Amino acid sequence: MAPPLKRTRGRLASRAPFRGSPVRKRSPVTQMDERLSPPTPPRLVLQEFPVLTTFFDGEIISKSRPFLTRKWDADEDVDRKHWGKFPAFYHYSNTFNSDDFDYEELKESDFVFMRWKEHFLVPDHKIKDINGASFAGFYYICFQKSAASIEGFYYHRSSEWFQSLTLNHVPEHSVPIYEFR
Amino acid sequence: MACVEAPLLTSVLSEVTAASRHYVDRLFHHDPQHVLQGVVDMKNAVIGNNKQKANLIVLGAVPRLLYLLQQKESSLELRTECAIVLGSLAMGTQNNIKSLLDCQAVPALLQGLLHPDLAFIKACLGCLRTILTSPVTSVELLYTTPEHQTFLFSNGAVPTIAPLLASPIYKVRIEALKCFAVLTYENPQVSLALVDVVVEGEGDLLPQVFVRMMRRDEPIEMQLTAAKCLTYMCRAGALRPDDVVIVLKTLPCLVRMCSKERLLEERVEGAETLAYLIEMDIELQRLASITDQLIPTLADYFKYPTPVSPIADIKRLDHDLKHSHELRQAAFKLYAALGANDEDIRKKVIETESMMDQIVTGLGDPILKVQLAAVRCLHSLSRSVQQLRTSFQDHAVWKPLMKLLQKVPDEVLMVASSTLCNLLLEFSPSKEPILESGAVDLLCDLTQSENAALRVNGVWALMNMAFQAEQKVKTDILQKLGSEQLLRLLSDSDITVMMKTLGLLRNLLSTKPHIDWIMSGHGKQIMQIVSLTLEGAQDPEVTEQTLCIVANIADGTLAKELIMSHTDVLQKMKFYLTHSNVKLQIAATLCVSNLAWHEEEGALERQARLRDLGFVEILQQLSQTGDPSLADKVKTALQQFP
Repeated sequence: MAPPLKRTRGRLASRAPFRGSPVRKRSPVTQMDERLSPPTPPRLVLQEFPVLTTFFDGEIISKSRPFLTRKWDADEDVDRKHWGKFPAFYHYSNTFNSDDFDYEELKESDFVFMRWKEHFLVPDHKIKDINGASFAGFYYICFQKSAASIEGFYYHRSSEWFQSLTLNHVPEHSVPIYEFR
Repeated sequence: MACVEAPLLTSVLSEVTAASRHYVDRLFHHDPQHVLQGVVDMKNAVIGNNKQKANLIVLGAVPRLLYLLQQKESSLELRTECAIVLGSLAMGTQNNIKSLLDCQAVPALLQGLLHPDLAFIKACLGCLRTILTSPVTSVELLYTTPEHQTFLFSNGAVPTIAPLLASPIYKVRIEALKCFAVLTYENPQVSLALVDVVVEGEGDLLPQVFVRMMRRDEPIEMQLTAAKCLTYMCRAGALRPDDVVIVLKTLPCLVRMCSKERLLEERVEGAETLAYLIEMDIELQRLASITDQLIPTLADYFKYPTPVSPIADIKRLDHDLKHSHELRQAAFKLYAALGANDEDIRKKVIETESMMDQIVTGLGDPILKVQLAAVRCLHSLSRSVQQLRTSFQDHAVWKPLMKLLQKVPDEVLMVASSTLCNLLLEFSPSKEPILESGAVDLLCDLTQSENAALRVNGVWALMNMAFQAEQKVKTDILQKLGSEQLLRLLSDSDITVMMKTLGLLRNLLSTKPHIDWIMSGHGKQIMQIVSLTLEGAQDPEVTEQTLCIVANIADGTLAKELIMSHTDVLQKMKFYLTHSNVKLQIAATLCVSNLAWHEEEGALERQARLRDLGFVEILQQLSQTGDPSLADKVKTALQQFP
C-alpha cells in the first residue's frame, strides 16, 4: 500500500480558522470569514447574496512552483506588480525571476508566498456563474508565520486590480484532528 | 456396438486401476519394511510407463510419497526411494507435473536439500530439476520464502549463475536472468550483495549488465526480466530510486512495455512491475506520469483487445479475450501507484476517458483480482479533497464501495476500508449517505477484527468521521463502540490502533457543548484513561495526543473542574511543561492556557490554584524559549493570569 500523506503542522494545518476582512474598492463586502488549509473552502459573504462557499486550490511558491506564474493571464509584469505589493517581497524583487533563485533560503524565512485559485462552488461544483461574484482569477498571497496573518491581492485581467484581503488566525481552544489514509 | 464395448472398456480399466491401487495401498502398511519394498516395486513399475504413472497419481500416490519423504521416522533409504519415485512420476506428462505442483512437492523437495546425505539430496535435486524445467512451472514457485533465497545465496548461487549471463546461448542467459529476478525479490541481503558483483565474460558490474539487457534490440522477454531485476533491487534498498540506472533506464524500459505494440502478457507484466517500482516514491511517480504518454496509454488497457497484426492469429485473439481482465487489473494497479501522492497526477488520471466509469465497473467485477485493483485505484484517488467533492460525488462511488464492504476477503476489505476513511471526512459529500448506510456499525465491528490492519482502519475511519461532527454522530459512535471497546483499543498491541483511538477521543471531545456533554456522561472513565496513558506512555506521540485530549477537555465549561480535581493529571502537565520534547511542552502549555482562560466562569479560582501549584513560575521561565511556537503559546497562557 502506498504510504500515507504527511501530516502538516502549524497554523496552515488541519483546517485552522482564519478571519478577516477584504478591502475592496467597490462592491463592499460586509464580512469575510475564511478557513485556510489548502485546499478548503472559504466562505464569501456578499451584500446582495447569502453565504457562498467556494473551493480553493493553493500552491506554495517553491522551486517547482516559482514566483513566475506563467498561467491564468498573469505575465511577468503582472507578477512583479502584485508580488511587489508585499513588503516582505522587497528582498527578492531583483532576483525573483532568475533561474537560480534560492528557494531553499525562502523556506527558512518567516514568510510563505502562495497562489490561491478558486475552482468551484460548494456544494454544487457544476455551477459556473454567479452574478456579482467571479472566481475566474486568482490571489497572490503572503502568509507571515510569526504573526499568523495572511495578506492577498486578487488578479483577473478584466477585474479591478489590487482588490485585497487580510486574514488573521483565530486560535482554537479545542483542536480536532483528521488524516488522509 | 457401444453398449457391448463400454462394459469391456470399464472392465479393462478396473483391472488396471486395481493393480495400481495395490501399489498405493502398500504405502500405508504398518510395517516399514513392507512400505520400503512397496516403494521400490512402485519405482520399477513406473519406469517408462506413463499410463502407470498417471494411474498412481490419480489414486493418490503423490501425497503419501511426500508424507513418507518428510517424516523423520522414515528411514533414509525409504526417503531416498520416495524421492526417486517422485522424480520418475515427474518425467511423465505435463499433467503429472501439475499434480506434483498442486501437492506442494517443491517445498518438500527443497527441504530435502538441507539433508546431509548426498544420495538423498541427489534424488531430490533430480525431481526438482524435472519439475522446474517444465514449461508449466512458474519460476517464482522455487523461492516461496526468503529462507530459500538466502539458502541458495549462501551456497554460492550468485557466483554460479552470474557467469551464465555472458553465455553465447540465449536460453542460458534468460534462465540465469530469471534466477536473479527471483533471488532479489524482497530480499535486501541478496540485492545489496549483487550491486558489487562483477560478471566474468562481460567484465562489468551486474547492474550494468542488467542495463545492457534492457536495450531495445534485445528480446522483449530479456528487457522485461532485466527491468524486473533492477526494480526488485531498488525496492529492496540496494539501488536508490534516484539512481540513473532506475530513472534513465529501468523506468523508461517498463513504460515501453506498456505500449500497444506489446503482447498482452508483456503489457501486464510491464504495468505491474512499474507499479511496484514507483509505488513508494513520489518522484518516480511524477517521472512515470510524464514519460511517453503513459496515462493515456494505460487507458487502452480497458479497451477490447485488438490483435497485434491485421492478419489475426485466432489463437492469440482467443487468448487475449480470455485474459483481458489481466490488462484491466494491471492498469488499475498502475493508476493506483501513479496517483498515490501527487494531486496533479490524480487529476490527469481522473480526466482519462471514462476513468470513473471503469472504476465503478471494476468495483463490481466478478474476478477478485480486478475488484481489488479497482479499489486500490479508488483509494489513491480518494486522497484528494477536490476529487471527493467532484468526481466521487458525480459517480456516487460510495454505493459500490459500501456493497464491496459486505463479505469480501480481508485483502479487499483492507483497501476498501482504507478508502472509506477518506470518504468519511467532513468535506466529502458522500459522508452523509455512507452514515445512513450503517457505516458506524460496520466500523465498530471492524475494530474487533483479529487482523490489526483492519482494526487500524476501523478506528481511523471513526476518527475521521468524528472530525467536526454533529453531536448525533458522536452519540452514535460512543453508543455503538461502547466504553469497554474504547478502553480495549487504547491498550491495543498495535500502536497505530492506539494513536487513532486517541485521535477519535480527541475529536469526540471538541467544541465546548460536546465536551461538557461527553464528560458529564463518561468523565470518570475518560480521566482514568488519560491518567493511565500519561503514566505509562513510552512513545512521545502517544503522550502528545493524550495531552491534546486534556487540552480539549480543559476547553469545556464544566469539564475544566474534572481536570482541576485530578492532582495526578495536573502533576503530569507540570512535568511535561519542562520536558525536553518541545511538542509535549506546547501541548502541556495549551492545557494550562485553557484551564486558566480568563473569560470562563470560575477562572480566578483556577488561576490561583494553578499559581499555587507553581505553573506561573514555570511558564515565566519558559517564556525565554527559542522556539517561536512554544513562546507564542506561553505568552497566551501567561496573559490569562492577572
